[in-house]
Amino acid sequence: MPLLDWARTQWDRALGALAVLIGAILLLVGWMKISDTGFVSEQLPYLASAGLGGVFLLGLGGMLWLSADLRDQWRELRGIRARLDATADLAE
Amino acid sequence: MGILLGMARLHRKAGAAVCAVLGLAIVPLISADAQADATYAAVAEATGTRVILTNQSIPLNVAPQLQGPTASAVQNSLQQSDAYAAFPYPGEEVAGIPGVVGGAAGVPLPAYPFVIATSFGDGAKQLSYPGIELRAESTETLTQSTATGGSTGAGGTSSARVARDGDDVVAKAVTDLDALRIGESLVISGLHAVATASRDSAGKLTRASELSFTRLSAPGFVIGLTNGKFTLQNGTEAPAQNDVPLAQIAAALSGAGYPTTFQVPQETPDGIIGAGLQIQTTLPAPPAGTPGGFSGETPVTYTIGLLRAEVAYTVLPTTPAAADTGVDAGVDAATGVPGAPALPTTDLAGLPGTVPVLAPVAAPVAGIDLASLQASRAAVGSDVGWIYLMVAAVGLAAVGGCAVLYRGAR
Repeated sequence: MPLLDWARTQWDRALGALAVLIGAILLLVGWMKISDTGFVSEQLPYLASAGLGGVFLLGLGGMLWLSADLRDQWRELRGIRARLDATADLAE
Repeated sequence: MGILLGMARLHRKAGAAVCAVLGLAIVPLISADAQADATYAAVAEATGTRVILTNQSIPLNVAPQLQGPTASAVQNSLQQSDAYAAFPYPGEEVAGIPGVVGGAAGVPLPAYPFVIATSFGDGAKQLSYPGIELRAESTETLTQSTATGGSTGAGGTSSARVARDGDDVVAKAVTDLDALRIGESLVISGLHAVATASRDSAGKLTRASELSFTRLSAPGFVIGLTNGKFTLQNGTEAPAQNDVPLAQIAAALSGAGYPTTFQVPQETPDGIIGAGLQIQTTLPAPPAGTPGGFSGETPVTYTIGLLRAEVAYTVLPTTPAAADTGVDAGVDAATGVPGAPALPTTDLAGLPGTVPVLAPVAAPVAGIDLASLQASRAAVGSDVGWIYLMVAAVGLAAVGGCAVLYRGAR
């Protein structure tokens, strides 16, 4: 189950991808619902729910993905520092 | 180290793939334009009979009026849903006296009791008195009211209804009077009047109206009225086949002491005002010394019919449907927002061949505030679809911005 293993170890990235996917689906569904009616009073609820909800999920997904990428950077930096420390110990 | 670099490359590729998918997702949003805004305003009004009295001894030349059963429904696309039913209804001026006096004196007075009204969100209301039944209901898609006076077989009912089903809007006004006595010897029975206006999703307008009665008996003759044609009944219920010209009917009724005019249905730009009948008679002078100084003969005018049903409907001119509506609401040069549909008034005075109405047709429900309707449209925007696209673009920009921000940081 490589996908499940990846989701477990990369939970923030998995959540981000899921949020972006759901947000995109919400936006598409909202657009289809808005397209079904020409009356503003019926379009506004979809704008408020699907539109704003989709945007929130897209933003949340982007933030989680960015957070995961930054965590990767910190992990790389920690690895480099560990190697530098090990090299310094060997030199002494 | 190599593993870490490989994972970073993998993540960059995954991020680029997400951005590409989201970028492609907006294509159908832009290519499939949302349906244009549709704005409608509909009204249905029905009044069984309007009676207007004029007497020179009444101060300030006031012409008292009494009407009923009266039902009215007004509904538009911005959640206005006003239903109104009254019987008997003495006119706005008299019905509003308790409020005016109470306000001036600072004393709360009970409002005119034989009225029921609902607005959007009120649901259904009902008011019952002996011989009077009033109902009104207001929801988002249905506005209706019914006023009944008397009882079954010996009374009258007026109903007004505006309903929206999907993109179709229907306004319908109906009046039924079992019997109406005018003066000493004129009796109308089985009166039925209908006015209907409807718009489909393309804005196409359909109008229909009917005014009929099974029997009008006056000294010397009995007539019926069906589909705008008078028929002699020769004292029997079965109408004769030969139609009688309107002029002969009017002359015969005038000869019997009931000057009568017939109003053919009037098509308005957004609906129809049904046929009407106006009959005049004169009440004899009261005995001398009547309290209040009331004296002299009193001409009385009865107006029957003139039901009103209208549906104004506007869609943005960018849609093919708008070209077929036949509604020219105009476009605001400054904002580019199409004008809200305008409903004409019911004042028929001045039209050639119409009944010389002594007073404007009462309008117990305030007319549609088209100015606020248009202002609301302008505030919302000409098309909610574009607002939605803007919101979606903000969301995509947020995700894309995250990727750009991260790549810039690296």
